[in-house]
Amino acid sequence: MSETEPPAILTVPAEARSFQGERAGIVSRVLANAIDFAILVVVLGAGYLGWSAWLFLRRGASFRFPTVTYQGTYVVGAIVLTLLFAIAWSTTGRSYGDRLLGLRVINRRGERLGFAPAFVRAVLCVAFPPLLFWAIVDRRSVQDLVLRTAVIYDWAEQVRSVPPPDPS
Amino acid sequence: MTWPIIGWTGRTKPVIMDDVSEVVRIPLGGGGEEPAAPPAPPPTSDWFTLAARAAVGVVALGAEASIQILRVASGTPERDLGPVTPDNVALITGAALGLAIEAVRTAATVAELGWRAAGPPASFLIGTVSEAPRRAAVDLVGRWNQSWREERPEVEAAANAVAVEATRRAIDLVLDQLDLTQLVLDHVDIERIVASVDLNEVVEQLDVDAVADRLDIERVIARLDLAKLSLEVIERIDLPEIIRTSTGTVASESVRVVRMQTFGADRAISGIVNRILGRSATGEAADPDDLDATGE
Repeated sequence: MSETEPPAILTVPAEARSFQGERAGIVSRVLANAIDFAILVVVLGAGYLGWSAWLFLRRGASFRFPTVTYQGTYVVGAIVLTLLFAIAWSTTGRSYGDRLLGLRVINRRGERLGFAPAFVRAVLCVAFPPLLFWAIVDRRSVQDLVLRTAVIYDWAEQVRSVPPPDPS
Repeated sequence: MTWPIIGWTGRTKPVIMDDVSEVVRIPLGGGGEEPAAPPAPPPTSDWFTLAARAAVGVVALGAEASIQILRVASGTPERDLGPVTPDNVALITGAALGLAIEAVRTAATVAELGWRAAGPPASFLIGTVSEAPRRAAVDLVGRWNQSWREERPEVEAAANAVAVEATRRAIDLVLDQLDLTQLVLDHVDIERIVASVDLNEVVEQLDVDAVADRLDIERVIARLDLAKLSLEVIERIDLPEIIRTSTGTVASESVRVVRMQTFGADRAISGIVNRILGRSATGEAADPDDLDATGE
């Protein structure tokens, strides 16, 4: 046993070990996205409240809650969600929804995505959410097919230390 | 002379020597005790007996001397010639002396026998005339015999020492030519010997604590793959499960349940889709472009 690679201890329950590393199905992914969307709503609401508080401090008595348009909300929400996804996928490999559902996003070499691929994938996911549902057929969304990424079951907290097999 | 002569002398004394001394002692002892009295001429049958005994004694002494001479000649190495030589001389001298004694005595006896047989009438006169030289001869022979008898233990000791040394060297020579280990391996049933040893008794006499004190446990541990061993132990006792059950909260347990349920739902939907599309259940995993880092 070399000292450079400490042994990886499985913290995954025995009943879930058999399918670790498999592609995630549509239910897990939709649920994860739903949780992420809920978080987005919370973030947007918090942002609105924060923005309002700042305006209140600036305007004092003439303060009014800022008007929120549908388009504005959509644009801001899309930007925020894109940034959330890109940062999450390129740092921990999983958004909060993914984490709760035990999912992880990897590239074709089984590694965590770099920021650029993560950002492109986030843009595609946010811009064309329905393309996710191709995963019903193939367990891969259209974004996955285009960017050659995958969403897998990975309940372990730490990044998987087992090197993936050479996909060539 | 550094050999243990005294210790060897009594033990290895040949039996034939006793016979010879018995033979010799009978007539000479009588002559020595009464030198002044005129000896009564012994009967003719006694003379024959004496002659026969003398002949036997001569042969025995001669054989003994020859054997010892042969031993000395064949077994004495060159480098030991210095310390051995005086003994050899003594031995040979003693043997020659013994031979001479017996030869003289036998000759005298035979001559007397012949003389008596040839001239019975004149025997008394001639016997009287020849009595003085005969007695002188007998006395001389007796003295020689006495001196031989006195020297005999030393001669014997020297001969024995030479014989022992020669035998030892001969055995060494033979052993040098033999591969004893191979001989034992070929001809000794070691299994039987080992089977006859009560190992339990041996172990009981063993001080295991002392053995343990001498053990270098650090080196033993260094040879173990502790990391692999630990992994096996963790696997065996399912340490993750223990940690989960001891520290797990309701939330993590809920998460686990939700994850398992969604996984079940995923599988169910995949099954339905596969059935609709007529694919095998493992169709999604059989993709050659599979990205999964399964590793499990």
